[in-house]
Amino acid sequence: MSGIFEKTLESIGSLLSPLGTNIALKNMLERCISARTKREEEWLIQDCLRLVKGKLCEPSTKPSTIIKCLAFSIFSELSGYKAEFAYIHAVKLAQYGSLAEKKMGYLACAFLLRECDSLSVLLVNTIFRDLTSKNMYVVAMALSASCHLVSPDQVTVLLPVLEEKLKHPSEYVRSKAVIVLHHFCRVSPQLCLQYANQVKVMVGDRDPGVVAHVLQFLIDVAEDLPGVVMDVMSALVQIQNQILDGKLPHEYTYKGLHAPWMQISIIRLLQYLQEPSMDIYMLIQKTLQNAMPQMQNYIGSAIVCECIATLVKHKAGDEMLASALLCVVDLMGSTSSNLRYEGLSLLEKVLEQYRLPLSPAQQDVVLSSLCHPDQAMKRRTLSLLCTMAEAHNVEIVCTQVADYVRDHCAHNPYIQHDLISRALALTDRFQNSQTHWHIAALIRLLPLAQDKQAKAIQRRIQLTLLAGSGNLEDIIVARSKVLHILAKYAESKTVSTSVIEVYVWCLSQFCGAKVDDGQQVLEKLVSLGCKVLRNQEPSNVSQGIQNLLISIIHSASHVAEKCGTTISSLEELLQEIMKSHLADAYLRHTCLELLASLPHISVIHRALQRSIRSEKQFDFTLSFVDKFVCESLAANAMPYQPKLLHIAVPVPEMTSLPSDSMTAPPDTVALPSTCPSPVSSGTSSIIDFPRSESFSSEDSKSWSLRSPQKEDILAKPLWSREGRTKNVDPFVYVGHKDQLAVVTSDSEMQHLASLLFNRQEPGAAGEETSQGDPLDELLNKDFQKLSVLKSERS
Amino acid sequence: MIKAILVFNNHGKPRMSKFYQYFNEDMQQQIIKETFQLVSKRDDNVCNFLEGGSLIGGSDYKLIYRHYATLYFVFCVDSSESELGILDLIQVFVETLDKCFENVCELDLIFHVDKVHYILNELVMGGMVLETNMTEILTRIEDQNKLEKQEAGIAAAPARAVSAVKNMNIPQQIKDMKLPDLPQAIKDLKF
Repeated sequence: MSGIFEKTLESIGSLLSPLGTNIALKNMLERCISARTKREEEWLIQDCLRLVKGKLCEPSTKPSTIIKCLAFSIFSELSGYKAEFAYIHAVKLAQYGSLAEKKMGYLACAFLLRECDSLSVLLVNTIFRDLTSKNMYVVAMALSASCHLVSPDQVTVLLPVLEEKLKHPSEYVRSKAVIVLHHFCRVSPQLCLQYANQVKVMVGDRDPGVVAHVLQFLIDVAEDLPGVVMDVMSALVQIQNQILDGKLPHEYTYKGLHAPWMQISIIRLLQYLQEPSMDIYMLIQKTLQNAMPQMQNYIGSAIVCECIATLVKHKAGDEMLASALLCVVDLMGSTSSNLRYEGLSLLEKVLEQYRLPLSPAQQDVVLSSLCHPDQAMKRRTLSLLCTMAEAHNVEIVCTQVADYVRDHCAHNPYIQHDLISRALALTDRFQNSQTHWHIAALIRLLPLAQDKQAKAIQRRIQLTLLAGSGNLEDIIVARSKVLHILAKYAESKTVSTSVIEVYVWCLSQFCGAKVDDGQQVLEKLVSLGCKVLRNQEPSNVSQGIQNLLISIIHSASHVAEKCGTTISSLEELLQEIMKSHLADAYLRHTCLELLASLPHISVIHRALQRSIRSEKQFDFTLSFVDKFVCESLAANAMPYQPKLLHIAVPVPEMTSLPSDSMTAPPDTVALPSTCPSPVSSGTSSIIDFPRSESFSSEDSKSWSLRSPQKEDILAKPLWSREGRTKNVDPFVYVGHKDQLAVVTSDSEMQHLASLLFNRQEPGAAGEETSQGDPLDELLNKDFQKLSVLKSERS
Repeated sequence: MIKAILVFNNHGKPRMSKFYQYFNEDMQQQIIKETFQLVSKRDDNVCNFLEGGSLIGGSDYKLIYRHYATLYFVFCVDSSESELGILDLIQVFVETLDKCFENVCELDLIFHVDKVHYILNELVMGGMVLETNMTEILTRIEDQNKLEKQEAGIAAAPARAVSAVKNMNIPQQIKDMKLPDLPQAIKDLKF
């Protein structure tokens, strides 16, 4: 007794120490939440954390104090202030504490630690040990913690003991074990799907709670293992019948319905059946009838929605559907906005499968939802409208979608992407070659889309204008209209670069072939290019601007070749672009290509005309270029560098372009580039080339990986129309650059080359170089020559 | 699957958060901020479903929320959960908290962080719904509390006495002590 008395005195004495009491913790928390500004809050919380840290570092701290310290650490991490010092104490408490301490320890670990933390690894053993404990609450705690603290590669450690827990006598533990297995299946499916069979058997478990979790598990694996659902079908039917007949204990009743969440799971599982029998339909009907009186509750409506979704998925017959549709109408007309929202979702599912007309009342509901101030409702209605769009209303639907995306989707790229793809699908489906509404819709959607979607829209516009359905006159009319629209649009201040790209492309494609037309278009392109250059920010050039400049250059070259003409301001523009984009090798390369071809534009034009008129076949093998390549190599041109070597080199110092390269004759300038010729740019996409590739030989001169001293090589023509000539060595190494005519080389070198590369030596006798036994050769060698020469080292 | 459960007040201060999918701390705070911005703009008479924001995003994820006085309870779920079912689940959670704390308020969530988490752990585990019956949840928690007390056993008697004394807050009680009303005559006595 005296011991107790002493302890009591001791603890009264410690009343004044902070964190000794619950009140002290409460006071600390009150202080922290009373802060009026962020800075004050930060100061207060950091102050308290210092106190907590000091307390935790004391060796004599009691576990109850540690628990309070951990509670505060959880609060501070929740508010965004890290308390890393507390982690190890949480781990220790979970490992060695009593029941209450373990509970807090696991809780703190689950909140503060992540699976990938090094401290979590310490806990895996503890969890393993606790899973085998005799106390069911300890087992349950360990199971809860393993959902948060076990990383995917450690799952294998726990799987066997988890499997045992599936058969634990307590239903509390069995439920948790099923959920943990479910979690593991999500993080490492390949390891855990084999356990699906064991869980499947548990559908017959005596506790309905466990069965409910097994059903949730089955819903997730049904995608991967549809056979599993087939196996348990009869069990599911039985369970559902029991539920509907009220045979479950009364604690499973919620708001007048028996085990509603379980019913939802069962009906959802029925969606995975391949061919449901009549019994299944009857069961779903029965469930529906049972839930309909409770439709004013959310949970009753939830069951109804699930039943209807399953009936629709299986394309049930008309009689079944009639009662279902009445429910949809009820939901849509409900005063609760949640139920109305659900009604709209359900209607969308129904209309995806069945083409049904809407009654005037339903149309009113849809209209009022479209104009509803609630954005979520509007979004749901737009989705519904996209599903039920017909040819007569598709234009207005797309307009609505475009308006919504413009006004409300600035911060949500997912909704934006989703809605735009649905609108695009509609433009594909309902193209009209007379009204061309789809082109107008595409132009409206273009500035709202990002990256890949924008490109997809551009391609659609191009394809439609080039070769859309319908007769040629209609398309020509459409083209001129589009040109006018885009010309006007391009002058607006807020136009996006993707729209101007399309404009520029249209200009080049659809201008007339005469010289005057060409010059007019070129002038327009040049003025546009100048405007872009003037308006761009010098420090930060965006991808959009670069793509736009490239498309302007490509279009200009296309027009120039088509009409055989050029204007002087075009060259000036190209020079200016190159000067202001020194870092962008690809853009400079494009400019240089056009600059190189401009002096010869009339020749190119004539060549193109000739090839169109005559019926000669094109030589796509490009074998005629081979000779040119060989001659250029012999005349000191730099060989082509594969792009991988370019990428391997870090960003080089930007040397300004050598000024004499402008005046260099075309023969020694660029080797055949890998850009497609402008002739074909009509049907290929505008911007297709990755930014990082750069093939310009000018650039390769300044940062080539090869030494400036070129290897002395003589190249022989190798390619013909039939393909590469066989058994010809393309390169012969010459001793001196000047001796180009006679090929003489060291005979030992030749021998080595023939051994390494299996080359045929002219005039060499085959027998002398017969393969000897390597061991015999070694035997005959001077062994002194095999060791290291020691004399050099000393 | 439930991806996250967030509770914050009308000013956006988080009062409880539980993530069932890995996000680092900065991401978690950003998600809480973004969710608050999305949810606080909503009127009280509109529907309780929102598409997820750009962070917790993906077109598959929805935010289902309920607003009680000063607190927002937000569940972020994917399409495998029934939206109306989750609405009712939030209701069950709040009712359970109410039963446990007797007229639960925001301060209860702050001062009893651990208790709130224990209740939540009985409701949702690993992103899946564990139990939906309020009575069942409360029974479990009571059983565990009893077991902890039993385990502490006789040796805990002094500890319990000590903790009772510690929680007494004697200075405050002295201040609050009300003396009985003495008759005026005794008060007027002068020595």
